[in-house]
Amino acid sequence: MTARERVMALQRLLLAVVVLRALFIGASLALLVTAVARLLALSPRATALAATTGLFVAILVLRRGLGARSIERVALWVEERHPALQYALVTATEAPAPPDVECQALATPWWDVERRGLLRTLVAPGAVLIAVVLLLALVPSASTSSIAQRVRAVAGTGAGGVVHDPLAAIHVTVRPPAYSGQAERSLDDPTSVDALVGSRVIVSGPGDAELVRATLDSSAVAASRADDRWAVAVVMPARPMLLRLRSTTQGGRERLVVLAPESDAPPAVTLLAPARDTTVRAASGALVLRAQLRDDIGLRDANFEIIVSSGQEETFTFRSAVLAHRTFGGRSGGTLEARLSLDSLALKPGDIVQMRAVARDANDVTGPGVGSSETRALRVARAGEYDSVAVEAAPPGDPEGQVLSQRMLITLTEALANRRRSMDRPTLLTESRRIAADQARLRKRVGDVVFQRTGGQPLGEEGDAGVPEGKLTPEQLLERARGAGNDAGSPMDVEGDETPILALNKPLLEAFNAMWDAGRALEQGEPSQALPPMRRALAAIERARQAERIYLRGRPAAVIVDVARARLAGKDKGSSAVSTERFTADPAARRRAESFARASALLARDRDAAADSLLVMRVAALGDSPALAAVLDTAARVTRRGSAEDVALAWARVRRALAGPPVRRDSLPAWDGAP
Amino acid sequence: MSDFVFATAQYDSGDWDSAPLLPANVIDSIARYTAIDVAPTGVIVPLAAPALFRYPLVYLTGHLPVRFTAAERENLRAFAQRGGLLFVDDHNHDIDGVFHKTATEELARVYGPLREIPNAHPLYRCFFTFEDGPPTTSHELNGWGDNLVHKTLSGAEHEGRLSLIYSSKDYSSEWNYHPDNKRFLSVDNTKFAVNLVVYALTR
Repeated sequence: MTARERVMALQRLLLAVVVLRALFIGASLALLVTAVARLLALSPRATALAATTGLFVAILVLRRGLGARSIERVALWVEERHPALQYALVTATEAPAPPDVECQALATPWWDVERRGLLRTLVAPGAVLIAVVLLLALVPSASTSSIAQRVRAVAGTGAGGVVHDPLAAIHVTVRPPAYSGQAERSLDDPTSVDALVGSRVIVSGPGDAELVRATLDSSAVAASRADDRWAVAVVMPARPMLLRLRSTTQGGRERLVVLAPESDAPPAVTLLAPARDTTVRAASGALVLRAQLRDDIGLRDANFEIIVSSGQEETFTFRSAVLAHRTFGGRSGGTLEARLSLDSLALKPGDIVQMRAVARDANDVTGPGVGSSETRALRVARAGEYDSVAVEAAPPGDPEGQVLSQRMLITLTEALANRRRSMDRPTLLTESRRIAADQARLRKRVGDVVFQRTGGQPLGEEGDAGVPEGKLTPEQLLERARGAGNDAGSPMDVEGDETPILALNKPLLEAFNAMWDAGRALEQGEPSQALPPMRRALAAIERARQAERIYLRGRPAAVIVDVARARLAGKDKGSSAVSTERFTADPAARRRAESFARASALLARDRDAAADSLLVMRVAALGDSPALAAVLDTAARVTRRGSAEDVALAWARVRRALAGPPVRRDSLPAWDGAP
Repeated sequence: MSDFVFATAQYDSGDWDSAPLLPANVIDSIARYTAIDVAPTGVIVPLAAPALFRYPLVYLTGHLPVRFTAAERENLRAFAQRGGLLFVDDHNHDIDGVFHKTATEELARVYGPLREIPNAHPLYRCFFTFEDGPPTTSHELNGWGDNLVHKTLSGAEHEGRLSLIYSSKDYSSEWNYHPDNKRFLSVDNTKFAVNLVVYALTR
């Protein structure tokens, strides 16, 4: 083996030793840091720090041995350690050397000495590495380390180690109740958690469970530990609540999380059929019931409820039944149909059938939520009510006997008046007289009503004897009525000195006379002149209709108490009550305004405290003011982390939400004197 | 200050006007025992009308099923929030009856669950004193209805005062007579009505 070959062999060994030493030293240092971190229960981040430190030191050590890559430098390193070589080795390494130089370079066994020396340099780092590995195996876990506990207690460091505050970063997992079918979701660092009532809310963070105390609306909640993290689990309550998390470390702070329950709305039920209340003379056949159902999560079942009320005055009996019960298996919508046999109910006059649809949702936590439709009533009329209630549908009327309404006649006349300039006189006259004929037919109908009421006979056909050809005065009408034999003598409400007959028929008589004027103008081909009396007739008919509206149930008899006579006439004496102060019209708004003022005062001194105040306000607002609750949540988050401009904007929005929507006034308020 | 006006609630379902003489009788008692300025006649106010808010005390009764419309429900909720007191009396005096079942269901949707009013409540002491709570009516044991003497009334509170009083005692029958006939009674049975009005006006 030549001298150059021996140097090259030594170079390979030297490189291996350098790398191994670097590895031993770096690993020893990293493991040592890890052992200390475990001893002090520092966070997993400490392990990463240890690895980084070890790697850094290893690189430094490695860098020192980089010269071994050059064979000349290895030869010089050997020459330095063996001066007897007198640079023969360097010469033999650089180029093929003469035999005498080669002999001189190999004269002493320097390679054995250096190989042993290099191997000895590995002993110490290797021993240190073994010692550190043993130490790491012997170090107790953080949870049982009394040193860790003492350090935490004294130094105020949490299980986070580097992260000293166990509440600095929290994580929330929400597991909705099973019936909802919703997926689990996660939130990072929330100020508020919105979830269905009954959801399991798990709040967690880095560190030991002993470092965190949790209360939910003044009730303590135990914290547990899992995988180097604390966790607090609560069930979403039915009303908004605050979850208070307090760090037990020195100077530990409090953190608030608003639990905002989302209610499972009851099913929305719409009764499609029957569409309206009905009164019938006789109840027979079948009634179709149809309802539409919807739910925000899922329907469980639905049915129709029927209540049959019978009787009158103080004696009533009731029957109830459930129809068409159907399950929906969690579907969010559907329809419900049934046929109700009225014959089977054996309804008697005066009976009332009340129908509604009822649906229940699948909520097995706070429910089931029950929703119901509006109630429809089917009433069987009593015999005495037949003249005033809707009875069986009549067949279609005789087309020849139909009369146009006064409103329609006015419309036709207005159209004719607009077209008159473009029409020749004969055409205008023909069309105008056609309307006049309809007007006369309607006038006859009004006359029938008036004369039937006054006991007279209905008017005959146009031109028959007895048909009034002109206007009638009230006196003439009264005369005719007397002549017809007055049997309308039952008491009526009348005004002033009017006779009952006049009071009852006055508006219709006015319409009757106005129609006469209108008909005459139309007969003459003057539609424009016919319009004013036609409109008077319409107004009079409207008045008559209003005046004669019949209330089936009527109003209770009005008893007017003679208060002056009764005043303090009682023998018993009571004790006068002391009037207590009433709450203001909107006490909730007043309380909110006061809370906001206190939070505003805090904002300049302590932003976190101000944000917490907003969260407390949000809990109160969630129930009855969702818009305010939304802006409060945003403002709380911005207050914690936003810029001054963002904070100002968010607080202005809260202030606007507190004030409510702007009120529009049509005019300035009335002046009520100097202050 | 305007006179106190006794208001009877008119609702869309049922026979809301089943006790037509009761308002006059209550008005007579108010005049007879107190100095409260009172209007000589009562008024009828639809439950869904904004006019409801003009009256501090509103009386509701009937025999038939009670089903509030959405508008009636909403208006009644606002009435309670503004401090109005609704007095509901079951004219059937039957806790197994359809008025009781439907009315309490509807009222619970507006006011929340109904709770018993303790017999030591200020309602029973705010003018006349009723040591044993609500006075018994002659109709509670007349063979009709549930034939029970109801020891308490139930109701709901808002901001520390009653916003709903529900009675199964049938005051609607007990007080439904012309006030002139009060002279035939040895003990006026309408005195509790005075407490209802005084409570509504002073608390």
